[in-house]
Amino acid sequence: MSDPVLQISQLSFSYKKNELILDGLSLEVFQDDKIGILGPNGAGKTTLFLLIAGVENPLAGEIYLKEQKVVPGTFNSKLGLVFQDSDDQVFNFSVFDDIAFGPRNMGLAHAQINQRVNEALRLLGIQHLARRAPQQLSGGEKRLVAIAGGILAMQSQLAIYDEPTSNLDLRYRRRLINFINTHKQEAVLIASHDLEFVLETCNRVVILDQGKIAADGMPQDIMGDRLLMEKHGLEVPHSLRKKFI
Amino acid sequence: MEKLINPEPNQSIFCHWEPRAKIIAFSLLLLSFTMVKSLALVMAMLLTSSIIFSLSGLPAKCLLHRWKIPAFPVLLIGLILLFFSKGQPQLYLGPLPITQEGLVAILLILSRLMCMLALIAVLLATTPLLLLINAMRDLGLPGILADMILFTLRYLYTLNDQLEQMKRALTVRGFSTQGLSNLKQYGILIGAILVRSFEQSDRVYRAMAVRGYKCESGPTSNITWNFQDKVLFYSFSFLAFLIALIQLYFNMPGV
Repeated sequence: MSDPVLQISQLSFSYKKNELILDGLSLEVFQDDKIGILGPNGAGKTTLFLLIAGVENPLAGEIYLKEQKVVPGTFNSKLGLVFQDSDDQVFNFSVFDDIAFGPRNMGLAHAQINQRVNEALRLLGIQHLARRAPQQLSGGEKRLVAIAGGILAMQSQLAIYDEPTSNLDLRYRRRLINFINTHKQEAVLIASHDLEFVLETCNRVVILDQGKIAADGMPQDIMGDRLLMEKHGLEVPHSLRKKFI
Repeated sequence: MEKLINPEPNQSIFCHWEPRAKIIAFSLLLLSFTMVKSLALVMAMLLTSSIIFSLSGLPAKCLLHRWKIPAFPVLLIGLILLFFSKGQPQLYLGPLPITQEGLVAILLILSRLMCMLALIAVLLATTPLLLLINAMRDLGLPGILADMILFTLRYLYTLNDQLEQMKRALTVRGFSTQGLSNLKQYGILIGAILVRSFEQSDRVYRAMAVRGYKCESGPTSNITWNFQDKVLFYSFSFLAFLIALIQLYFNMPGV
C-alpha cells in the first residue's frame, strides 16, 4: 500500500473544558480513497475538517498531509475545503474574483490565476456565471462556485466536502454526484447526512461518534448493517434496505 | 445599493479615467471646496461642479437623490445660522432677526454641500465600488479596512435576507410590524441579527484562512495613465490649486 495522503494520529480537540469533541481519533486516508464520514449532529465532523485544514488547534495528536505536518494557522494549498454554507465561502463581489482568491494568495502570476479560474469554471460548466455577483446566484450555483474556488482553482490533492448536498435541488445534487465521480482527485473526504449521496460517491465509509471512529469499511458493509447504523443514530439508506425485504 | 456597487456604465470621460488618478483629483477638488469662504469663489465653485456634472452625463435626478439624504440636517444648521448669526439685523421674520452674515453663511453652506455632493455623485456613479476600494487600497488604505468595507457591502444582502426571513417568521405567528408596541420584539430581532452576523463573520474568516488569507494587501499594480488620464488629472489638480490659492493667499473676504 502506498503512503497515506492524510494521516491523523491520536487527535483530540475540545471547545470547552472537559468536553472532548474529538477523543484520540486516528485515521489514514490513501490515494483514490473517497471517504464518506457519517455521524449524528455534533459528532465532530466539521471540527475534524477544520483541524485537518489547520484552522483549529488540536489539544493533542498530529496530522500529516502528504507527509507534511499540518501546522495550525498556516496555509496549506494541498487541501481544498467546501464549507456547509456556500454564503460563508463565496465572499467576493464577483464569481471570478472569488475563484481567483485562493490562487492570488498562493502568489501565482496573473496569467496563471486567469488560467486556473477559467479551467475551474469550464470543468463545472459555469463560465456564464463568471461576472455575476454572489447575491445573484441560486443556492446550487453558489455551491458550484464554492467548489470551483475551494477545490478546483486551488488544485488541491485532498478535497473535503462538508454537507455538500444541503439545500441542493435534485438537479444540482445529480450534477454534484457526477462531478465527484468523474473528477480526478487524490483523495476525497465527504461529511453528509445524505446517505444515498455517500453511497453513490464514496468507496469507503467511516462512522464518527462521540469523538471516535466507531466503524470503518466498505460503504455497503457499514451502511447495510442496521444494528451498527442504529447504534450510532443513523439509518440504513433506502436503496440498501430493499435488499433485506 | 446595486447601482452603487455596479453603476451603469456610460460613455463619459470620467468612466474611463484611471480610478487612482480619479480619486486623487476628486479629493483635491473636494478639499479646495472646503476652503471656499468668499462669495466670488462660490460662483466659481458652482460653475466648476456644474461643468463636471454635465460632462459626466448623469441624469439630474441622480443628483437630487444624493441631495435628499443630508438636506434635512444641513437645512437645520443653515436655519440656525440664518437666525442666530451675529450682525446687524436686515429684516425680521416674526420675532427672529435675519442678518446679512446669516444669509451669507446659509448660502455658503448650501453651495458647498451641493457642489461637494455633485462631485461625490460623479465619482461614485462613474466608478464601480470594487474598483474604487481597490484603488483606495493601492493608494494606502489599510488592507484590513478595505476588506471590512467590502465584506460589509457583500453581506448586507445576506443580513437583509435574514432580517426579512425572521420578520416573516414572526408575522406568521401573529407579530405585527406596524406601530411601536412591539419595540421589545424588534430589539430581540436586531440582537439575533447581530449574533448571527458575528457567527457568520467567524465562519467567513475560517473559509478565507483555508484559502490562504493573510490579512495583507495584494500587490499594487503599476500605475499606467494614458493621455486622457493625465489631462483630466492635471486639470482637476490645477483647478483645486487655483481655488485654494485664491482663497488663502489673496485672502478673499469671507464670512
